[in-house]
Amino acid sequence: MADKRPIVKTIGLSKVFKDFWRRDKVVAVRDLDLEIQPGEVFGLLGPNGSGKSTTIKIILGLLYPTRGRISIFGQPPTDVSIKKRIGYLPEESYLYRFLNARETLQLYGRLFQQAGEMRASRIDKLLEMVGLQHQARRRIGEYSKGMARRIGLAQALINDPDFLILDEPTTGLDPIGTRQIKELIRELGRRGKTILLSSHLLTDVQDVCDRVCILYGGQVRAHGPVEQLLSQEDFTQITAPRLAPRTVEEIRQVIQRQQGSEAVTISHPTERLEDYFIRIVQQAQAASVVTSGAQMGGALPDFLSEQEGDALIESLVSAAVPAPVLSEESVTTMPEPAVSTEIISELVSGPATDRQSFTVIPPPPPVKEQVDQTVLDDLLGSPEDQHRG
Amino acid sequence: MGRIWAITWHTLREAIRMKVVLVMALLIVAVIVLIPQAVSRPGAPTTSIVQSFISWTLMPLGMILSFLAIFLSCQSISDEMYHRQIYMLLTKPLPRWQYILGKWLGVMLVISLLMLIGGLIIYTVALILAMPAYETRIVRLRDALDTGQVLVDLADLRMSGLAEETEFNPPIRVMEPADGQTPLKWDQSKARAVPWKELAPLAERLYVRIYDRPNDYYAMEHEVLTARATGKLQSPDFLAMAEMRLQQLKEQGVFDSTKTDENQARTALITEASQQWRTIGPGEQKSYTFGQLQWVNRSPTNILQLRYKATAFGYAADEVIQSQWFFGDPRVVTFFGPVPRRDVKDRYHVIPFRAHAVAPDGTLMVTVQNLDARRGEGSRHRGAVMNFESDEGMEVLYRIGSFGWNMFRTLLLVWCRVAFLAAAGVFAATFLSFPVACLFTFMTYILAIAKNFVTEALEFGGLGKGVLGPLEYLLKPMFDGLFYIWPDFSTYDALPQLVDGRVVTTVWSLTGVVQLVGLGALMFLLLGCVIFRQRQVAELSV
Repeated sequence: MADKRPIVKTIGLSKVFKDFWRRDKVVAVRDLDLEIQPGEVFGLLGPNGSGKSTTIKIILGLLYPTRGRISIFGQPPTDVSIKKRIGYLPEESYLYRFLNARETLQLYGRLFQQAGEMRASRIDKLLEMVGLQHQARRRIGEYSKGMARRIGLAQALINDPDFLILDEPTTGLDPIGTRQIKELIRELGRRGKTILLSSHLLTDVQDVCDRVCILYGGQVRAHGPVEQLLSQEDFTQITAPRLAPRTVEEIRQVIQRQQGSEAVTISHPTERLEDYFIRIVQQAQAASVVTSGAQMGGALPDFLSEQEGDALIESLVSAAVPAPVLSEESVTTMPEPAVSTEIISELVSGPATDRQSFTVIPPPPPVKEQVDQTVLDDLLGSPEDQHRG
Repeated sequence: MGRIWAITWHTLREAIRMKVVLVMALLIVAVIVLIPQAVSRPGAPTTSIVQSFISWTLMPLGMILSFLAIFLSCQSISDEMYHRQIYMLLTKPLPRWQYILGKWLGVMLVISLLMLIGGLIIYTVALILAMPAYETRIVRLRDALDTGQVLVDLADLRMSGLAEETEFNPPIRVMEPADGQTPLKWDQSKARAVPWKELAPLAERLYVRIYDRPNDYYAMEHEVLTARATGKLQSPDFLAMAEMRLQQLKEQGVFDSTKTDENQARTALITEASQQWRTIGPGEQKSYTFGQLQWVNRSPTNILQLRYKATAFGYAADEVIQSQWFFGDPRVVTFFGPVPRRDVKDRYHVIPFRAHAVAPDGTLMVTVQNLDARRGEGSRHRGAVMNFESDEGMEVLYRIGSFGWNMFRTLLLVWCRVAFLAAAGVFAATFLSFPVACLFTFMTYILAIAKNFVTEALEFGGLGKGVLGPLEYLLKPMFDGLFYIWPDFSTYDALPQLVDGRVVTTVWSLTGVVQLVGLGALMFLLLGCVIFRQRQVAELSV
């Protein structure tokens, strides 16, 4: 991270929408102070109408702030030259129905003045990445929403942006697409790209973001690193292979003896439906079932540059060789295969007889399905994913 | 440039994919196909068919393209804003002015494409419609001479007396028959050129190719499918003449400045002097000088036309005016005449003459003699007075270019008008929704074509006395101001000239380019850029 200056910095940013008579109608953003550092995945959270999209549009120069200051790469948002380094996926895919996927990407590639050959090769790789290489000749008007979304994502990456702005990237996507986008964001994050992710789907944000900021009514209500916001220092989680009831009881006794606490929950881990769904689809793809929709996406195109050298990333990139059916790459993103086959066979062919895993809840610090109750209950009313503890 | 081109290309592709171009192209083709049906009357001269065809297809073409430009320019930008595709464009390194310029260029590319297609079809069909005038047949020279149907050019020259001269050049191509029996097939390679002086004695044996309808051919070739420039009549200084006359009257004591308004008298005297100058009494003759002929090719083989229309005061038998004409300076050897004429009054007539009658300084002296008096001698009939109507009563025309290029320059002016409208549409779409932007642009169109109408309507029956009453006093300066800056499309309408076979000058079409595109369209585009830069394109969503 040679450049330590923030990618985005806003000071007292406000946006007021006025009506025809210039009277204040809606205060969309109020005194927003925001800093997005190079290389971080920044989550912008909030319920509908909380000012997420407005903030993003101000950053992109599609809206002008009413008050306050904002700089992107040290420049005002109206500076056209900084747009070379930005990739943007809007909250919906505003694409041209009469173009096909390749033509769409060509149009946007031309706006970056990319040379023809480089543009063509990038487009091929991006289409492969989003799994639309076989649908590239179809008009976008015929696409499903998720397919259009994938093209939207591809166009956001065509210039190998340093700063990627994703406004609700997973809306309209099936769980596979959602998972891919999350994987993509993680991978891009590993490569040192700066990503601004706006969403109200909390799991999405939680899975990928380094730092989040929760907006409500155009104001920041909470911000900080995800782990810091979510860790519950009061609980510990232990995961072990299937234990005999006697062992379980012993553990419970040990805990009670040592900690003097009765609040111990012991249960079988359930797989998230998302993981299960993805595995089923992967099996179908491995069996070459034909689909008219998008395929599982492929590897990240190699033109997407890295911000910092890293041996692990090198190995990931070199492993990411394009393949016609791209499930192999995706497997690396899946949970442990050994476990998954067990669980599938269990789910498919009746109750498992052999091994079972017990998870001793409460969860450990990098807990997943848990959110900061105090903030979110307050803000969202109905949290997405009620935590079990 | 690459980005502008990307937007331009995209706009063109949108118009093609959305079938707009297809529908408009079909409409244009329909117009071109249907118009000849509507304008052709049985027995009409080929020239009038071709002229009607050209004017009744080029005019709709211009209108269709104007409407299309209004629609496309407004729709292309408004639609992208409405469907928010503009978010994706403006978040790329695309300056907003390049977006605006690219859109305008895209619309103009669509227009140019359709104009090219339409123009080529109209040009081709016009030439096809003109073909009957060019039909020829092969006849014995004797028969052709007897019936007065020698090669058309020659026929006219004979009428002017020119063809009798021995050095006539180029010679006519003639052909001898192989034998007298078999019907002749014209073989251009076997045809040979024969000078006029050798021709007459061989008239029995020689065959010539003549035009079926020589008058049609002549009119088509020299008055329709051509581009002719004009030599204008140089009028004397009528003001000085009036002043002199006034002085004379004063000296004679006829004019009393205390009783009569001097200015009124001067105006009346000017009118009188100009009338007198245009009038030739029975048996009289008068010389006129034409100027602006310095670019004429003064070679003796080059034939110019004198086009005139005269009216007759007093009795003219059969409505016919008898006159004879002399071309050139009588002191110079190239002086030529007399050319006798019997022409129906109040109609345009064309007299061909040789270009070397024009003086080296680009002036031409023409002397006209009114022959009518001779008929009237001894009777109560005192002969008709010949009178040339004002400016276009007499003019010299000479070919300066081809019909094709003339049509190109006419279309260039149409293109400029459409370019102006497209820029207005792009401008309007930067801050108005589609229907409002369309209306606005349509208003600019109406204003641009209605200048004459509005001015005349306001002044009809005197200012302040029309239907709007005193309101007219208010409206007049408003419209005057508006029209001062607003282009008047009729000054860029070259269609009447094209149809009349008159040259649409390059200067004229360049004036259109500079004023309508370089000033008008550019101004709208600049304004559009300024507004668009201020515009928050995502303003609608909260």
